[in-house]
Amino acid sequence: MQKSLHIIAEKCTGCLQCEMACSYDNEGVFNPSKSRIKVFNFHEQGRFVPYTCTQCADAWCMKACPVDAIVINQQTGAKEVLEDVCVGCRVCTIACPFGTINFNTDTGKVIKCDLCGGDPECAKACPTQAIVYIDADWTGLDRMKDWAGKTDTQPDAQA
Amino acid sequence: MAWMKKILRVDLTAGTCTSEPLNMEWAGKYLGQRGLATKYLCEEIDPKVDPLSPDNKMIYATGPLTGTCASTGGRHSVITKGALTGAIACSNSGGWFGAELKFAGWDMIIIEGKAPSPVYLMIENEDARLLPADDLWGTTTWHTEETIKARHGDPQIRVSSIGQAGEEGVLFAAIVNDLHRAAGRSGVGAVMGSKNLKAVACRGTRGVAVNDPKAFMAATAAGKKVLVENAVTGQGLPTYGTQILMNVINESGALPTRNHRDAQFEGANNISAEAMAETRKTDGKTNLLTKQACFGCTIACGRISQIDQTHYTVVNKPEYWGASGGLEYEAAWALGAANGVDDLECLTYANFLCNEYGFDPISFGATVGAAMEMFEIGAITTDDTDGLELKFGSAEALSTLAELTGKAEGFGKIIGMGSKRMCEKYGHPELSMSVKGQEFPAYDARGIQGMGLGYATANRGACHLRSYTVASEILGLPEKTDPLVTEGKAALVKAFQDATAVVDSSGLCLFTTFAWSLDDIGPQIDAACEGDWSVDNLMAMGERIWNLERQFNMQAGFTGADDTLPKRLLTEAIKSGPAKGKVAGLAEMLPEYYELRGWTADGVPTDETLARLAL
Amino acid sequence: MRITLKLFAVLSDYLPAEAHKNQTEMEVPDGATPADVMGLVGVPPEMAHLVLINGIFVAPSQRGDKRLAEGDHLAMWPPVAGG
Repeated sequence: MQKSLHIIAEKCTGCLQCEMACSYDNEGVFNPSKSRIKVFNFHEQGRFVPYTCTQCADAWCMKACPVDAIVINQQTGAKEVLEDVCVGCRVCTIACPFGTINFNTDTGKVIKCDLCGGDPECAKACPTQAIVYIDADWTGLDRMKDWAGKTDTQPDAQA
Repeated sequence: MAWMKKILRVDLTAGTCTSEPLNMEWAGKYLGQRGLATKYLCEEIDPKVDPLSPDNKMIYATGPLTGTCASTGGRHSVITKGALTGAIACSNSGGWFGAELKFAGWDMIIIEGKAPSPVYLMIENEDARLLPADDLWGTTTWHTEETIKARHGDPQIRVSSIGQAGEEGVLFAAIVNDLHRAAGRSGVGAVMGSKNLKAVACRGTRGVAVNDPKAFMAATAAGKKVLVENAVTGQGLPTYGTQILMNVINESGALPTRNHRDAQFEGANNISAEAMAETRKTDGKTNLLTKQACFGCTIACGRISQIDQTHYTVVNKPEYWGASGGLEYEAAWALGAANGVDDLECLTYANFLCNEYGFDPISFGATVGAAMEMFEIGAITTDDTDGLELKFGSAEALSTLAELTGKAEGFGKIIGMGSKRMCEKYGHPELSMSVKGQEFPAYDARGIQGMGLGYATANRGACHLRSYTVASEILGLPEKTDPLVTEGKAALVKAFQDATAVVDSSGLCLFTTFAWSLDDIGPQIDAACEGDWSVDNLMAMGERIWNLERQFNMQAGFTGADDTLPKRLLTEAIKSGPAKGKVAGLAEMLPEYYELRGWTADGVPTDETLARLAL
Repeated sequence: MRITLKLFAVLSDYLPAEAHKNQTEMEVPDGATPADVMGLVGVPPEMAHLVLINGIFVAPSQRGDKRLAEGDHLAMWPPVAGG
């Protein structure tokens, strides 16, 4: 079954273990500035939200690349950057509406989440399960279940 | 490996920033952060120096585990000679600033001299420069952080700064990073202000490696599992934060109330964790919004709160309607119980101001308590306070004084002296509840005897963290001891002090020790760092660090006579509750403590002890 | 006999409806122990980490033996800590 990375922002505490795990897996050192997943602090609202590439089925980055350096991993569904093909033109960083593919000045190539080939490190590292790797067809299942559970106990549905 | 092996030396007088190699011989004996920076400070300044003079130095210091995936591996400390105490100061902070310093490639920043006009230090990896801060001087830490990020066009910069309190020399001024974390105690913010240094901003993209990655990943994973499975670190702390202690300590009869006149507070449950989770009748919201972690922390004890917009403190101030750092137990105690104030929203507002203007809520709150007692007996009058009635229980007095003290205006200037100097000024030195000039935190030494010894002997003045025997005496962690007896406390306090010095030197957070022992911590350090970091070596190092700090203090002029407690705690028995009739039995514990430490009867480390510790 | 029961943190879920600010007065059999009271209100023993009678610690091994007296305050917490 294909899985996708699902974010449950209300569980995020801002610890950045995900950023460390990602950079460690990709670069061999703890370096959040090279992480493909970033945590955002909306401090006035008291909210932390991790965000990364959501692996668009019809990906802008892939279509924009002039040298076909971005390909689909048929197993994971991830859009992967072929480092030796990438020329660092950064057209993909302009094309992606979500900003989740970015240039790495150290290598001259772009970087993005590739789901670690099917075993994403960030999901494993997250201490609160704010990032989970679950059935791509049913990421809403837990929320559905929460609300389904309320139908039995409350005669008047309360939002 | 783990260490970046580089120090940034900033000469504010000359305006220079230079890189130098980390002394690895010292790193092998003192590890990092508290231990290593204290060694540098001892070597580089005259312990008799005036803390607010250009000859004092301040050191931002990370630990080897700062910036790694070890749980809680994100802390840094500021080490200097304390403005409040004249003793060694080592103030520990969380947030994300320390990790950023490591990612920029630095273990420590040694700051010396005084800038001719206000500056801030901007570090971007290897590049460090002093930039003018004239437009930032006179503004808050929040404004400073926002402005620096905007000015450099980089939202990922981390900022550590002082507010007006530090600029104006409030003696318990703090250094605030990431909006609401702080190097809080002993007036480290005043030292920074005396140097005309407004802020340190940092952006790092280099990354931290470790010596043995495989062993490190295994050790840190094992450590994380322990934290998750432990009920305190895995559930209690993240759910309730430290504020859960308000009712615990109150029920135990050791909650100092109204300047330590009483040991239980009738309003305790109005300012507790439970109160923070209660739905307000006014707006249907709760004070507590969510929890927050520091860098790398898998516990998440931090609180994020929002004040009731209709509350008198903020009703006309929409700038305080957003979420910000909520009350910790220490702040709620100091702002609340110490003054008899049980208005939760008022305390939250005062806490916001402590972060925004950069001052220590513990020393501030306790100083207000002393002022209130002097007001009650007529030693301070409304003539002194510009008409402000400093009555115990007055929320208005507390919030007004917080506003004044943050800017060192009006009577806030007097509060900003700290309780020791303030009480001397008004002729009642005995009413300052402090040791070595630093005010007590939230545990009554008469009700928790081991804490009394810990307070009296802590190298930085009265401090609960240096030897948190509350864990054992009240909470039963790791094992339960009786809070009302003095037997066995000398050994307990020494053990806690030495172990804590290790944790404070590693980059890890002390709260891991509710679940971890050095058996869990040692392997993480050993895998990350070159050298042999066995538990035995670490314990010896802890004792070494303690004695090093002690030496500094003695050279600064402190003696065994300063290892004492206020008369109130030594002679006035608690009037009611579980600890009724108790005074602090310091005299029963101190001689044994000196002996266990290998010190003379006057508290001086013997030559044998110094030799044994390679000092 | 009447005692005052105080349940804090998540244990407050086990308080009766009329409890206010984490505490309630309740009628218990003479000579009841903390273990007996836990049974009466349904607090799972493993959840009660800290048990105080009038602010004094009751060791886990004593919870079934220590007898409460009229007017005692029995307070309980799950595992907690702070600083």
